[in-house]
Amino acid sequence: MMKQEDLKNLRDNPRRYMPPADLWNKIESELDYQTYIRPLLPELPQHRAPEFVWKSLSDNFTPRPQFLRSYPWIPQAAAAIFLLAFGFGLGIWLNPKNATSRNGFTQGALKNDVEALDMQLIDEVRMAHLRWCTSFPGDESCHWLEELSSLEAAQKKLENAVRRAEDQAFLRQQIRRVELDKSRLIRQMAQKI
Amino acid sequence: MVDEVALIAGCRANDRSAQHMLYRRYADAMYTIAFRITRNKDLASDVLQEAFIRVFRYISDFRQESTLGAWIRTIVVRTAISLIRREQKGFSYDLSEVMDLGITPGYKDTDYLEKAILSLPSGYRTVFLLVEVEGYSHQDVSDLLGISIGTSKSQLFYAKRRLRLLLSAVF
Repeated sequence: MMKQEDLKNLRDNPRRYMPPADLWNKIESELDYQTYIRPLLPELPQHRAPEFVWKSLSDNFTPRPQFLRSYPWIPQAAAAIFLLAFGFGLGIWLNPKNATSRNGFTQGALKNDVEALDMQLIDEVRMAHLRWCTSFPGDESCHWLEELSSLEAAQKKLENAVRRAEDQAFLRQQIRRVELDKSRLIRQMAQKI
Repeated sequence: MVDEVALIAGCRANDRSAQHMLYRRYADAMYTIAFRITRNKDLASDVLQEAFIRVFRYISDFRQESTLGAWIRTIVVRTAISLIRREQKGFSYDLSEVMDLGITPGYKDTDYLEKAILSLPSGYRTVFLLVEVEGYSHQDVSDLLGISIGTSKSQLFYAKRRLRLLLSAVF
């Protein structure tokens, strides 16, 4: 039991808690920092990024094929047509025999329909250009090889989509665009080497 | 001057001139951050390159909830931290690393201050740069560096104290 005497003692001599001894040092340190150092922080010198960084960045970056930049809706349109065709149960058109009997269309006919590129010539130009890029890896034309591969992949996808879709005229038109872009690239590569 | 929205749209369409413009706009500021964190110009260049590759690759994911500059800065900071962790095989937060950069009073104040900041041990320096120079919160720093908020605060306190000591001859 707490006596009245103890309570009186507590009231007259309340317990005192001492702050840590180094607290003033901390406050002083923070005050100095706020006064002398912090105002200078926004004025710290800025360093210039070296020029070569952008060069290696752009070399690292694979550009989209030119035709996709001009017509960004082509991949979406091709995908949508494919999905629609698939959704309506036109898988039957996958069978080339059926396709031929229904609309007289075959993969071979498509090949004849688009501009024929001399595959051997393309390979020769591609190899020569590859050698050029091995000797001059920094040359800006080196991304043409990747662009050509992208075009070939896009062409293959479009050709596959044509086999499944009803609106072949539209897709053939896109394939023709790809072929023209490929021709342009091959011509540029040939000029370069 | 092309506005930010147009610049982002251009980069999303993979337009090289928009990418170059965006790079030009932020390269120096981001290189400066990278250099201050890594304390090495070659590493800072690597950071800048790696960070901007990520920027261009993921700019479609940028939801514009923060400014473009803040988004790029976070990518640069993350890239810098992961790169120096890779380089140093362990990113220390102690006092063991002390580097003499030949600090002598007499420079223009800010040059001297920068040298003093660069001379801080990496843990102190990174927290100081992120909180005091770049304006990140301790919560952000905790997330970025994978340390507790308490550690971030104490690192900052020691960084400031050391800076005060280093600069006491000047101020």
